[in-house]
Amino acid sequence: MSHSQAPDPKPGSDPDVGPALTSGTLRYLALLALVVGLVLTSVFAWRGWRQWEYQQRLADGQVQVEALRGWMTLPYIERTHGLPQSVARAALGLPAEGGDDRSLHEWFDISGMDPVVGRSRVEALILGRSHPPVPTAPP
Amino acid sequence: MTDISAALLTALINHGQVLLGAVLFFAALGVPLPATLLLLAAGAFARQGVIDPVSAALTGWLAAVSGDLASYALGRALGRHLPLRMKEGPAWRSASRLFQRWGAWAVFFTRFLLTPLALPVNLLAGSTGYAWTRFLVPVAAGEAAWVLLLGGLGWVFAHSWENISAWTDDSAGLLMGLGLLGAGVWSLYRIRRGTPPNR
Repeated sequence: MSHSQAPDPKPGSDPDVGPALTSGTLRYLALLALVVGLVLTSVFAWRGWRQWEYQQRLADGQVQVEALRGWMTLPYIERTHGLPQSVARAALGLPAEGGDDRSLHEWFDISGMDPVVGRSRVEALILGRSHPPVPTAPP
Repeated sequence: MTDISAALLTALINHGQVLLGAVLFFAALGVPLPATLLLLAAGAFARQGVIDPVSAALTGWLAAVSGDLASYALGRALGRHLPLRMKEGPAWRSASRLFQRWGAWAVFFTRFLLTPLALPVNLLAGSTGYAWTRFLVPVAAGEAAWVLLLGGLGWVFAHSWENISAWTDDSAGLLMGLGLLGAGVWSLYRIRRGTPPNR
């Protein structure tokens, strides 16, 4: 039994690439692309529209977003928000030194502090520094 | 934002371009990591003076190109182990012929526009025996465009880069959907007219 001889190409096939895909397979692949394309387009267009709507609500002031994120470290907050580490550490009751690479999230976990309370405490400090309280008239 | 993304952002602040390079390399190999988010964040962090922009861009570019070459090599190794029956099948040979003709453009555009298709294109390039020298040029150019485009967006929108991240993810998916939709309509039109779509 010999396997050395290649079968004769079918009529209409390209000898360089072998027999072409059948028209049924091509139609199936085209329909599959069409359906998957429609699903993807609908899903991502809907997500994009939701995102745009959210941006509009942000711009209108209907939604407030905290400036702080759980992934931020104390040195990062110092650099980007101008809040000295010493002040933030004192406000959160953290050790005066060490753990520079820890995120806020990790600090809250370690100290057992409620993340919402901790974050709002730091945010209040940042706001207080950017908008210092108006001095009252001396008595 | 997922816990992994948050942990990677903290690590990016602490380790800079080393972490960026590692994420971009493994993401190019198919590990599900938030490469786009990290690249945008790196641009923003560079603007804020947290990381060095030039070394971050160079490291990110080198890592992404290396990851692409590694996944191409993986495709080539896998291609050798494919059954002969499959490699001589009409679908495979047709895909291979199309790749020889359009491969460079497919590689280039999947680096920064249709990014979800980057890994399948790398594997296809390797397994169909596409020359690595022809693969390298569009990879290097496409990854440079990706790093500069996303890093640049992060730099420009340093205060709202998280919103930009959501937009870029959605637009890549939308582009892919529109591309598939267009290909499907075009193919059906050609079949209806009696002309095979790959001619």
